[in-house]
This record gives sequence, C-alpha cells and structure tokens, in this order.
Amino acid sequence: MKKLRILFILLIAGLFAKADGISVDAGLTPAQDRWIVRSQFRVMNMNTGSMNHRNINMPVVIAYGLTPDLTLMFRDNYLWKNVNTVDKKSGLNDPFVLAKLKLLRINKPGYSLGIAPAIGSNLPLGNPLVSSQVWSPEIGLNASFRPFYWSIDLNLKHSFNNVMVKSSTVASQTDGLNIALSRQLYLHPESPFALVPVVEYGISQTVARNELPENVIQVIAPGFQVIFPRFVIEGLYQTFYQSGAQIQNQFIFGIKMFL
Amino acid sequence: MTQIVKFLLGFLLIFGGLSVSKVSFAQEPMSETSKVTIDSLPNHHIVGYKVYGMDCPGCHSAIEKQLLKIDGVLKVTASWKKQEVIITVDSGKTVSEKQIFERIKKANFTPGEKIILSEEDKQ
Repeated sequence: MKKLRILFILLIAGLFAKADGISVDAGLTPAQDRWIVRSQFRVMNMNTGSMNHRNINMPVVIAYGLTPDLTLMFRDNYLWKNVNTVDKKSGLNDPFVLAKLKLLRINKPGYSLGIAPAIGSNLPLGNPLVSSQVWSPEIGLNASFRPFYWSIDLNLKHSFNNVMVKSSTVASQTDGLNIALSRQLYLHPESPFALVPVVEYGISQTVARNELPENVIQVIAPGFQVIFPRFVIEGLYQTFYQSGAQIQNQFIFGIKMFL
Repeated sequence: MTQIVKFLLGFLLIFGGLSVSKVSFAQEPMSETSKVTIDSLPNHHIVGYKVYGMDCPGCHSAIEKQLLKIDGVLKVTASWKKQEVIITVDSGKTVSEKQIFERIKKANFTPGEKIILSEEDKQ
C-alpha cells in the first residue's frame, strides 16, 4: 500500500508539475523559456539464467530552454529492483544533468534539420541500494531530420563509466547509437492531435578497462506517440538482444508536458 | 481516520498545490518601430505570417507562448500544417514586425512572408 502511494504521487507529480521546458528530443532544441516535464513508468524483465530481474523504474525529466541555443536538463528516477522475488531494493537513483547546444538548425518549407551536441553526467548522490555510487559522464551528438510528416532522429553517445572507480567496480566506456523513425497520422484533417507510430533501433558496445570481453547489446523498440499541442502520451516496448539472444524486455509508458 | 482517507487528503493537497502553482516570467521591454500593416477587423488588428520549422502540434504552444509575450498581442493561433501563425493585436497598441520576427526566432523557428488572410482566418 505504501509503495502504491509513492508510485501514485510520483506519477501525478510528473503529470501536473508546471515547468516550462525544453524539448528532450534529439537534435532540435526547444524554444527559449520553454519547459518540458516528462514522466514515465517502466517495467523491465531480464532473465540471466540463474537470476530473474524485474525492475520498475519511474524517471522524471525536467528540461528548460535557457536560450534558443542552450537546453538544460535534469533527470532522476525512483527504482524498484527485484531479483528472484527475494532480493528487493528500492530508492531514488542518481540524478543526471545534461546540457545541449544547438549547432545547426535549418527550417525550410519542406523540412527541418537540427544538430545538437550534448554533455552530461550522473551525480552519485542516489540511494546506495540502487545507485552505482560512481561518476559516469557522457558526451553525445544528436541530429534530427523532419521532412513534414516524417521524423528521423539520431543519437550518438559515448559514456565514461565509473570514472572514479571504487574497488568493487570496473571502469569502462560505452558507445551507443540510437535511431528513431516515425510518421504522423491524422484521423481527420482538422484533428488537433497526431497519432504517431514509432520504431527505434539501438546498439551499444561496452569495453571494460580490465580487458573483459566486449559487450554488444542491440535493442529494437516499436512504440507510439499521441501528440497534442500541450502534451504527448507515449508508449514503447523494447526488446534487448545480446549475441542474437533476447536477454531483456522493457515496457515504457509516459506523458510529456510542455508549457 | 482511515489510511485511505489520509492518503486521499494528501493526494488532494498535492494535486491542488500543483494545479494552482504558477511560474511567472518578466516581460522584456520591447522597442517599437514601424506599425504592422493591418488586415483589420473592428477593434483588433489581425495579421498572419508564414513560419517554418514547426513539425507537429506540439510546436503550437511554443510559438504561441513566445508571441504572447509581446505587449499588445492578444491572441495567437499557430498551424504547423499550414506553416503559419495568425496574430491578433490590440488596436490601441503598436507591434512591429521586428518584434514578431524576434519572438519567432526565439521559438527556434524561421519567420517567412506576410500572408494575406481570408475571412475565415480573421475569425
């Protein structure tokens, strides 16, 4: 009952928080003085043979357009970890901060194009039960191409994992690429909202400093968005693959509000 | 008092507080230059411009918010499909094209040519 209360309050807080914000989407930086608040509910299942993990994750993202060129973002999430139904941990994870800078923005009658590099890092301030307790900064490059009803978003990211290494952790670096493709559909010409099917593909490769084998993970994710002028409802189903075998799946449902 | 009632009261308190919370922004002082040429209706001026860069309904609120910061702008209606924005200006105020263009750029869009409004657009 107590956990349900916390879950409900966090979800409602995410839905009704009044912040003006910036878009968190890829290469297009949002308007100045615009806030975006995004709240999600994620359920992840992972089976590693001997262990069955089931995690519930509730991230909240707040982004703000300091200028048309500079976006600031803050993210944190509450995590419930469950291993084999007996090892249960929960708590507030490390917050994450990010800055995104508009490098290029072209707006034409037929399309928009944006490129925006970003830099960010987690802050190891979270609950030790769920937090890594180490710094993992990252740099990235985002690009978006929007030819009218279509959207193509590309994200490249390089993470320096566990920079300040604890004796029990291993430093590593991760390279990631994510591509999202979507198209807006309108049920009626005068419809005030768009129904948007989405498909995403991602691949990441982690190389550890102590020469452990590379870890390559691919993710395929169909999903949808319903875009209104002031908010977006979104859902995504991710399946993760390693060496050709599915290792994990995650269901995401969320809402994004802009003011 | 039961646990459920306590929880409901706590939720109502948080919900009510969040719903009435308000973030205020200082209006930047705007310099006034030339008066916008008007396709006018009684009491208000209505003008429209092409805007490039809007790609979904979510963009409407971004540009509407920016343009409503201009002193004298009463109403803004954006359409990403038509790639245009219709602005209603108080007849007692002067709003320059430069002010409008600056605000469109702050929304990360590109202003285009002035458009001739139909009677439907004026309404």
